[in-house]
Amino acid sequence: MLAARALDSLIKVRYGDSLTVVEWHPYSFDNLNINPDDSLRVARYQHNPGQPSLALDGYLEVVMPSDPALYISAFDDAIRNVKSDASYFMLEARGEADSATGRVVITLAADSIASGTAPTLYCVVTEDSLTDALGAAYFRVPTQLVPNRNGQPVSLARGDTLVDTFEFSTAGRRLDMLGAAVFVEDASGTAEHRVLQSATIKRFTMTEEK
Amino acid sequence: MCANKIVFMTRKNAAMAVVLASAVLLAGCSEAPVVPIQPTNRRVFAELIGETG
Repeated sequence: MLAARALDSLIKVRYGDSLTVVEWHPYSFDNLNINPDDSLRVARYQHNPGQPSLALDGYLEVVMPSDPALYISAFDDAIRNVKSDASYFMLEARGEADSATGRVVITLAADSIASGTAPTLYCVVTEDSLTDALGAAYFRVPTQLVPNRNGQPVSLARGDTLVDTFEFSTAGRRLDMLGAAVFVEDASGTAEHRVLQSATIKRFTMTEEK
Repeated sequence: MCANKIVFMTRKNAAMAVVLASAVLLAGCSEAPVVPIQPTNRRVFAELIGETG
């Protein structure tokens, strides 16, 4: 909880939209479990169940301070370090939803693509104000990976702009609590699953059912 | 003799000017510069894993 609040604070006071956050809750004692959708990502990181772990851009695991009071400064330093690398990818996303279907419209372009890069698009639908068995509220909790947990490889040449729409069912979902994180990752063997760019959809725009 | 004295004073003034300029420069740098958020377009993707309670 304290690590989550530290990230909340950094979004509010420092990074805003330039920090895309999701909070995985994969363990059996946690009723926010969405296995197996989360298994591919969570399995990449070293962590102990019940202890917080923070991974940045898919490859950098932040050394967690033993004192939670130091979370903010430790996270801030690590985020600033990762952010100092320029990205050659432009990624924008917007979402719309009705009571049947949610749509995530993604626009992706690149100024430059290094040889061997294998861009793969992921979309994580998230939900806010989910409570666990102890009554604690969590935000930006992944509840679904669309179109699937493997992501969607994209073929993109320098200067191309790709526009894609991912759809998912919203039946039974709290539409006013839905958000999404979209990211493009390099899936090539040597890239350590580095995330090249990301974007946040804070809320879906409500539309009339079609 | 007099001409030599003028040359001597000019060099002295030049040295003092260098010292003065250095002092001004040091005074200007005495405060640590604020480190801004790096001006890149990279959004950082942060994944928090498994924190409960």
